[in-house]
Amino acid sequence: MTSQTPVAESPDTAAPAAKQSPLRRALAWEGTGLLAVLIAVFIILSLIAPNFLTAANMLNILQQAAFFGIVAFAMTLVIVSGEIDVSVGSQAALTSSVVAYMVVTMGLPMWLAALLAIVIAVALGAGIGWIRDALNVPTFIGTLALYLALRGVAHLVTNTFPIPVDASEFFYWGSGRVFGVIPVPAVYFFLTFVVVAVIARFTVFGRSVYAVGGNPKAAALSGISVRRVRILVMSGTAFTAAITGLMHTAQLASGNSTIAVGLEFDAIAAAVIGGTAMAGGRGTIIGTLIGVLFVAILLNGMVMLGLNPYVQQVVRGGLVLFAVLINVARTRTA
Amino acid sequence: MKIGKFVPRLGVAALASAALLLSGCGSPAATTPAAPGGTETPATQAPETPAAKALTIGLVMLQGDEYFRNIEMGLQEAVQADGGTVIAANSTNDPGTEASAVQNMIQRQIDALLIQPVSGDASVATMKLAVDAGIPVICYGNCGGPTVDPTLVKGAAQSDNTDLGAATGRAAAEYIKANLDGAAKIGILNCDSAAETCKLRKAGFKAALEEAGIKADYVADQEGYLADKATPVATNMLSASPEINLLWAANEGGTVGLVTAVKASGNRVAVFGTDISEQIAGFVLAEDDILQATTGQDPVGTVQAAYQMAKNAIAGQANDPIEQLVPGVTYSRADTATVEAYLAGLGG
Repeated sequence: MTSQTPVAESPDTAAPAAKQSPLRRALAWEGTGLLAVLIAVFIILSLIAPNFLTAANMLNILQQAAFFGIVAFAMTLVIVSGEIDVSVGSQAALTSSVVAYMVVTMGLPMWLAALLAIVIAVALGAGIGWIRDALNVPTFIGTLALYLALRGVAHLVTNTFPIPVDASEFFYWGSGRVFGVIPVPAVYFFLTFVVVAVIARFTVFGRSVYAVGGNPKAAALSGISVRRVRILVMSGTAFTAAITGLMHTAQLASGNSTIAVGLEFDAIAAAVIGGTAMAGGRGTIIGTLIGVLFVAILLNGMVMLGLNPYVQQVVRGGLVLFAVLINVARTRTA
Repeated sequence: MKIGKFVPRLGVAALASAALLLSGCGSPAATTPAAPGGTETPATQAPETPAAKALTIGLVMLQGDEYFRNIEMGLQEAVQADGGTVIAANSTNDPGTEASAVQNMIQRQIDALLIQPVSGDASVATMKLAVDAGIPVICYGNCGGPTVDPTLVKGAAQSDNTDLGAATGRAAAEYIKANLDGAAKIGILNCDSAAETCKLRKAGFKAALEEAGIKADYVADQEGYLADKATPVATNMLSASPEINLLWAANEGGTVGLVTAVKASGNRVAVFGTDISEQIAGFVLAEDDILQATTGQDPVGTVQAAYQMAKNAIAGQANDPIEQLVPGVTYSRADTATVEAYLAGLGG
């Protein structure tokens, strides 16, 4: 997935607006429209959806957002760099299965099993990044192969049976609450947001991701290691997928080969709704944060309203389509 | 405002309108405020009597097919007759999705949760969330081990899955004795990864053949439980093992896949199935003589038994026995009246 966009639109393109007033800058920001929609949907659901506007439900929404939002942040960098990763759901399932297998069958301590599973995931992600650059195999193809193969390996490891894990303290890391209130996954979610946002905006690597996504040849000529960027962004989604797999394992107190089906599409949808251009070179982590919260709030609200589950799928698909159309319109008129 | 900025904002406005419109398109029944949860309904409430107050019942289904369509319709019918509301979700066989659905339903303050868990081991933690929230949980399928533990569920009503397989197995044994001299080369399409009950069905089928003294040689046992994917698997199975002279599938999609593949191959191979639908009933009555028999579940009877258990639990009454097995019905060429009665019940 190479981009033909001549110039990358990094977060720094907002620099000329620095002299404007904060209000003007806020209005000019492309995420303002989505934020307004998010607020409008939130207000309407608060008014019409039974039990939507409760503190417990707000925390519930944040917890659920974490299970695809963490991957969505890393996915944003992948898409911005002009690539795609459709293997994250299978990667999460493999991590969950392998961790449970290593703990239950091989007797490894949980921390070591989790570490090894993360190393396996990152190695696979890095491998796809390397293949992309060295052999010019599109990441869609490479990760599609992983999407199929990793789920199969997960089924083989578990024989499709869930492997119960003696959760005890581990259960806390998926379903526990900090100070008895804040869901632990929500803490991961915001930590990941901060880390990825800082990387994207304030590091040389972050700027390189936008440069490679905007024009990889120009980026290479300017001294950026395109291969390094591709390997690192693909490793990033693999890492976050592994973390998500561990969260599922902790929450469900078992290793499962059937979890996280469609995780890749939820993560991509959140990034696209948040304004990330599928052609690469453009997208922000804060936009993805809004996209994740928008999807999570809408999914929760639809359940609260008692909408038919298949209508919910239609709404999700419609949202992605609208977001892509908006992206196209924005690109053409920019 | 420049047109360049206006177009995207117009799109965002359209997005907002669509989202809000769809957010508001719930059925009137669905937006009925939840009745307060709790277990304080007078214990004098006898089974079969309507609930005293409008209940909000959470329903978690496993996947989208005719069986679960009938489950949802059967529950809607019973709950709405009591003036209540059903909040339905589909886990799509994913324990993670299942956990999210239950968490949302807890926040929705449902009065009872009817769930077909993805798996005994993987769904226990999720079901505990509802129990911890004070919501009675009823298992209506795929119940076994921890998911029928009285500390977790207030009741379990489900098809007797071992007998679903065994009933078809008995029909297959009769066929083998009559047509294949008591020995058969058998190919199986399983749904083992979709639900643990599938393994019970397979065990029941094999046990019935063994009990009948059939010399069964299981030549192939492949996964195929969605019709589109099951058909090529069955076709490949027949190509790879032309000696197969009897096929059995563990669910609806597999049964359709087997019949489709045998029909396309032109070979004469007897097919036995599991589950019933309008299409499968048509196969049993078809002149091609491919599908010999199938055993179907009773989704409406199952979910309405589960709903009654939920009402009992809300009323503070214990369900005794805690597990209720709902028998299946065998549809075969030897008894077309049963098949025609099923079709008549559908209005077909």
